[in-house]
This record gives sequence, C-alpha cells and structure tokens, in this order.
Amino acid sequence: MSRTEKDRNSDSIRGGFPGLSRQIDLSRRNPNDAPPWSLDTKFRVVGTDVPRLDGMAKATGVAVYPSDFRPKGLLYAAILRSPIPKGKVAELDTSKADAAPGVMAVAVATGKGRQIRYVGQEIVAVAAETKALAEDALARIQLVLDADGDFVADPIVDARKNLPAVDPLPQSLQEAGARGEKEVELAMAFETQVQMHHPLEPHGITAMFHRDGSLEVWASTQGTFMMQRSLAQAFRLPSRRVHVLTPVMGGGFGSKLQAGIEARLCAELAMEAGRPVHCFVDRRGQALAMGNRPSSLHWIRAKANSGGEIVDWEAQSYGFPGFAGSGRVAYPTFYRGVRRPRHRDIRGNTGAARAFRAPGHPQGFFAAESMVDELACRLGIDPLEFRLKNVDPVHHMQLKMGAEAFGWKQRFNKKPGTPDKASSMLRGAGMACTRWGGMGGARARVLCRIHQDGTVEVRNGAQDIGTGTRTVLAVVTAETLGVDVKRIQAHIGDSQDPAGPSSGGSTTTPTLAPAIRHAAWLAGQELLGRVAEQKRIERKELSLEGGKILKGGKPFLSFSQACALIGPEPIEAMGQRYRNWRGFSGGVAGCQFAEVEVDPETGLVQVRRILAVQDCGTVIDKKTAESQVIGAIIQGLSYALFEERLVDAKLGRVLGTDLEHYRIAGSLEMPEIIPILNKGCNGHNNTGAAGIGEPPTIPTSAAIANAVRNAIGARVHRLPLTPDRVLEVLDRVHGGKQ
Amino acid sequence: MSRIPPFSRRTFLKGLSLAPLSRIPSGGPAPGEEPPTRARKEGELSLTVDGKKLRLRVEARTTLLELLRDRLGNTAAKEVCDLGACGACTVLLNGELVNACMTLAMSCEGAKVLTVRGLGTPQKPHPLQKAFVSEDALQCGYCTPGMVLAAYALLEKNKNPSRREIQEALAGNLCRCGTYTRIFEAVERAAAELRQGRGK
Repeated sequence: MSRTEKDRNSDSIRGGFPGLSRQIDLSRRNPNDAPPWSLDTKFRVVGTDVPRLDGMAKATGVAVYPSDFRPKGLLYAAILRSPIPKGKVAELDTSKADAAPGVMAVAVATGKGRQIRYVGQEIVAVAAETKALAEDALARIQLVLDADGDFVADPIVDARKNLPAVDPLPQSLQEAGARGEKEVELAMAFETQVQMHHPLEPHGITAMFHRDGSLEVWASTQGTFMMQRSLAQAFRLPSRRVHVLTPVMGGGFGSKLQAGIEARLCAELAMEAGRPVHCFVDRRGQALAMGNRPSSLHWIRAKANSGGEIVDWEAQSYGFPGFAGSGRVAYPTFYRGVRRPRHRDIRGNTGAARAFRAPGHPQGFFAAESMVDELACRLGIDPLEFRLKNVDPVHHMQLKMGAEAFGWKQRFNKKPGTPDKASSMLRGAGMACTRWGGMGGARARVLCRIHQDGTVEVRNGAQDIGTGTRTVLAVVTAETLGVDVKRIQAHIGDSQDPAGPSSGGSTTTPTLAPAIRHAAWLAGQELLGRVAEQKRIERKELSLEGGKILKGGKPFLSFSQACALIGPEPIEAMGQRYRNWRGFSGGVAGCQFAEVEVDPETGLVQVRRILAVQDCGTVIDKKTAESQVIGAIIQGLSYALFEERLVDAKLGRVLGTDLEHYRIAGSLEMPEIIPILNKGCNGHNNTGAAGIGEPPTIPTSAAIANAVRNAIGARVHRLPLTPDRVLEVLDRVHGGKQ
Repeated sequence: MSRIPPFSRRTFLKGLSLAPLSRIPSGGPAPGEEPPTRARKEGELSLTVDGKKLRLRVEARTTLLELLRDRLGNTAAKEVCDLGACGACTVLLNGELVNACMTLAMSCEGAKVLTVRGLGTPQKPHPLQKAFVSEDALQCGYCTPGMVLAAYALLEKNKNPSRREIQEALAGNLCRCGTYTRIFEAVERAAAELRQGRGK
C-alpha cells in the first residue's frame, strides 16, 4: 500500500465522542482488508430500522426451532436426576426400564460407584416412542444411593457470618443522610442472589446418526461450532462428520455455550436406537442443572475526601458457584481510586454456575456502584456530581448526556424518605455506570456469492441467540454492495458453512461484521473485474457505488445488469476477520438512570422509568440494537426486584424449580424504557461495530437500588429488593412509623 | 411419594440426623417388587386445527400441546414450563385462550383450535404479526406465538385497549429476552391499523 493511500485511510477514521474524538492507530490494519467505515461514513442501510429477517417466520409460528424439529421416526428422551445433593450411586439397574413399553434406548450418565454432587445431577436417560412413555420408564429404574449427609447446601449462609466488620447501619433518616462531614470513610457489605437463566427454549438437541455413520444434530446452542467439536470429540468422529444445525434458537443468555451432558446422552440414545432422538431438558432440569448466575458477597471499605474524590478503596468479594464453574465478580475499573479486589470462590452442592449475560458484572457493579452512591449521599453531594468528579472522560460525557435526557435534576429527590404529598409514595432516582469489552475478533470467515440473477448470498455458520445475526449479515452486505436488503439471502446456523464465533461476550456482531464486509467487498471487486472483462474495458475505470457500476465516475450499469454478465457460475468471495486495530477504546461504556416509586406501607418497589446511554460503536441495525438494550434492562430489573433461587438448607434442594415459583418480571412490571445509542467506541475493525448484548444489563440493578436509596432515605444492601427487605430498612430508619 | 415407596421425606430427614452416610433407594420399584404399570386408555377424537378437520386416536393423558407438536407436527405453540405458568403454549380453543399444556386433548372433542399458524402466514400475515415484526417485538421469538395469540384475543374483545389493558392481557405470557415494551407498541400499532380497517 502506498504511503498516500495509507494516509488517506487514516484520515477517514474517527473514533470517540464529540469533544473527545481521537485518531485511531491504524498500524495494525491489514492492507488486504476492506476500506474501513468511520463515524463520518454516510450509510444507506447501516443504522436504519431494518426488520429482522426471520421475524415473520417467528411471528407466524413456521420458524423451526431445534426443539420443534420432528424428523420421521423421532423418539423422545427423559432424564432421571439425583434427588440428593451428595453421595454415590450404590446400585443402578435399568433393565426394567429397558423392557418398558415403547422404550428404544437407555443411556447412563452417572453409573454405579460414581459420585453425586448436587440435586439434579443426570443419572440415566431413556428414549421412547413418546415423552410420556419415556417418563413412565424412568419410574422403573432401580436406583439406590449412598447419601452423604455432609453436604454444603448454601455456603453463603456461613460466609455472611465471617465477613470483616462493617459500620453499623443507620438507625434514623438523619443518620443515613448527609452528615455534613468533610470526608467520609465507610465499610459496608453487599449481597447478590443466585439468578437462573431460564431461556424459554430448553437446553437440548435432536440427534440422528445417518447410515454413513455421520451425526446430524439440531441444537439449541449458542455455539454451533463448539457443539460440533464437543460431539465430535465425544464420539471420536472427525468434525466434518458432525453436522450441527441451529436455524433459530430460543434464548441462552450464556447457559448454552457448552454442549451439556444432555447433548451427549441424546446422541448416545440415537446411536443405540438407530433412530432420531429429541432430548430437551424439562423445566425442573433447567432450574437444577443448566447453570445460573452465582450469588456473591462483598465487603467494601472506601474513603472520599472533602473535594468529593474517592481516595481509598478496598474490597473483598466471595462467589458461590455451586459444585463447579466460576463465581468471580467484576468491579468497575473506571472510577478514580477504585482498586482491584481480593476474591474467593466457595463451592457447595448445587448445580454449577455458567456464564450469564456479563458474568460477574451485575454482582460487582451492584456492590461498587452502591458504595460510590453511598459515599456521595453521606458527603451530601449529588450522586451525579460525585460521579463526574471520579469517572473517566467517556463516562463523564455519557453521564451528562443521560442526566439531561432523563431530567436528573427534577427527578432526584432532595428530601429522601419524605412521601410525595399527592400519592403518599416515596419517589427517588438513581444511576450507575457500565463498561464491557465486546470488541470481538475471534476467527471467522464469511462466504459471499453474487449470482447471475442479481441475488446475493451470504453465509456464516454461527447462530443467532435472538440478537439478529441473520439480519446483521444482510445489512452489512447490502451496505457494502450498495444494494437493497431484499436482494440478500443470509444463511446462518449451519456448521457446514464457514466458521463463526460462539455467541458469548457480546462478540458475535463485532466478530462477524468485519468479515461480512470483507467478503462483500471482495465479491464487489470481483464483479467489477468480470464487467471489465466482458465489456473489454480497463478495470481501474470502474467503481461500485450506491449499487451502481460507474465508469470514469459516471453511471454505467445497474447492479442487475452487471450481474447478468457474470455467467451461470456465481462470484464467490471468502471474507476474513482480521485482527483488531489499536482502537480508541478497549471497551464499550454506558450509564443508566432509574426512577422508582416505593410504597411505604408495603415496601413494594415499582420502577417507573429507565434511561440508558449505551455505546456499541457503529450501530448495524438500530431496531435490533435498541432491542438488546431494552432486553438487557428488563433482565436487570427482574434481577433487581424479583429473581432469587432458594435452596432448602436441610435437603440441599432447589426450591421453586418451575416458572410459577421462580419469579421473573412480567408485563405488569414494565417501566418506560428509553435506550439512547451512543456510537463512540469506534475504529477497531473495518465496520467499527462493537458489542451490545451484555453491557446494558450490568448497571440496571445498581441504578434501581440507588433510586430506592434516594426514595426511602436508606440503603438496602441485598438483592433482590423485595418488599420485606425494603420494609425492614424503612422500619429501621423511620422507627417503624411513616 | 408412591413412586419411591420405602422412602419418604420424613425417613430421609431422620436418616440424615442419625448418620452422615445413609443408603437410600431413590427411585423405581424395590427389589422383588413389580414395576407400576399405568393403564393406557385411548379414545377417538375429532377436532379442527387451524381450519383443518381431523379425526384420530389419542391416549387419554395426551395434552393438547403434545397432540399439536408431537402428533400433528404443528410446533407453533411452544413447550416451556409444562405447568401453565408461562403462556408459551397459548392457543385459542373455541375462541378462548388456553394453555395447551394444561388442556387434555380428549377434552377438545368437536372443538376448533387456532394456533398462530392459522392466524396468518408469512405471505398473508395478520396485522398483529406484521406489527410484531415491524416493531421488533421479538428477539429469540420463542414466546412470540403465545404473545401474538394473547394479543389477538384481547383485540377481539377490545378494539382500542389502553396500555394498562394490554399489559394485563399479556400478564400470563412470559418473555425472557425482555421485549415487553416493544410488544405493547406492536399491539397498539396493530389495534390502530385494525380500527382503520386496513386489517386483512
């Protein structure tokens, strides 16, 4: 690449925010990559409201989810789970189940002599002609367990008692309010609960072995290629002999990244039966064994000086991931003075934790943002002003922007704990910040074909967990070639297509978009070459702009006319995902503002309004990007107010394993939600796209908790903010009287 | 606890308090005992699904949801909680909303069942289905068929629902991706369209 060309490219890249704009270091940009988009690029399709491509198939019920797939001769599986939290399988006899009506295969997960580590551990799976017959057969399995009474049901109970000392809780509103002190030093404890994923489509696959010994699975997974690798390994097949299909799937939130034991059992059953087997985990199994966001305990000591600056910070955290998995938490790193914490995981005999939408972050941010807020309250400084003094420039800008749009000044209650005269409700407002990586960059390839009839086919084997991957393929291709989205046929969720990422870490779009753009750009270049060849003109005279072929800068051919020249063999281009450049920022930032109403009689918290400012770099599709923010907020609200997995301490059993007793926010609890997309984090790949799935769920619970603090005049230190916990605090600071 | 005769919650607790290690039969028939056999009763059933008349034999214990999904291959209604708590299996039974997972197929003799497939097709969608797509009122889409039908049942009774009435009508339908506010907007949009007669 010539020096001038390189310079021109770097001029076209801008990253950052108004007033904070920075030049991007392009030294790592690959010269073979497509020309990059920047904040200044005028888009035709990108950033508009393109309806998701598979929306109509979903809304009319014709979309075939992996759990919907009904091949001929399908058998249904059921799984027997351990009723005890710890012990050993003493005896296991499946012969009576094997002989039961309709049973075609039995597979053992935990055989004789093997350890049991939690209630819900898979013991045996059975495949039968119907689900009911499979369940009947489970009752015929003879299972004797050696129960070990020395199990840990919920280690948080003991850990609570062993925390370092905390300052006594305020006993009155006055005490909880500003002390008018010049500086403040506090030690406080915070606690978060276990949250269950409960994606609506259960975990599972439908598996079938073909006559040639290859395995085909329809998998409800967040990682088609990871599923392929896991099953290939388990059955000692080369990867290419395992075909994974996930055309659409019904949610995962982190819990469907790995191929669970149910997938292996399903394929085993299919092999034994010689027929396709449908093995999807029932709701109780979901609650017991398919992962969770672990609970956490935090002890934080912090100090702020009279100038409102955080000058000291010390934190100790504990995570409780169950028998396996990670309970690590993440604290914000962008506040002045906030230092790295010490952390310890404490295991127990419950189902293992799995990644859950921004693993560790909502836990840590609830604690740290509560602490930051409390420092401001005790100093008598507006929490907005306090944060502005302590955050980085990007959050500083976002906080100001969000506060203005939210109406912070009017909504922040200057007299916490004083009921509104008209409604007799306690009202308050709170805020919290977020930050996440989400730059993407895993290996990915995208195939783009331009056909003679003017249609464009684009393919990648990765899945869509509901974010709109198929639509991203179409939008980026349409923009790059300058054609209408309707021309594009986007194919995803098939392991026979080019490799793509798992949907984790908010990286699907930022990983795929640059490879899609590269593929479409290469295909467009090839199209110009074919036109030049056919028309016997110089290639360099031609260019592709706005969906038209220009010759010497003047309209020459329409896209369709050009395609007609390419012959029956389509143009094929394989796009690559090059490394990220050194970008303007290493992650996406955001902040949220919440307004709540608390009933002083019942302690019930109702969220009225949430406003989010969220950065995600270039917005590929505005509608689906906003949907991610809205969904993340609703999940955060549900975490803040309702969701909590309870465990019976005596039996080690999870209580509330159905959706009746495990409460998730519903339509009646919905506040007004205002998402503001703020595309600042740009300039790290040729599209400037960054992740958005996880970052907006991080600060929601903290913003709501801070709003409750502002409403009632004292802090609830533990999630969820249930009426009893709110009442307890109200009683304490108001002396039981309102 | 009849499924595990020699073992009850009481004996389990007692055992725990006596010894840290106890041997417990945890499932199935005790040695020497015959496994339970459930009588499988079957019957004839006639019903109409999405306008198509059907006559078939079903087991007495088969639910309407199993009939639709596993026997008829109509997987529009989804199985999520299997306890009538989430609304994902919502269908209209003679015009009334029901959870198909809680409805025995045999109780639908002569009934008309409407799934979201019968409401509209990708080529000829119902205004609600169009609005769900244009407002992006779905993400993973697994709750969508139930949501669309619950909204349809509302609009059949109330042509101009308030936001609160929409929220109440959808209170039995759970969405895990968090699309509620967009669903409300979609229902409002479809209602307006239907009122202006730009419906089907």
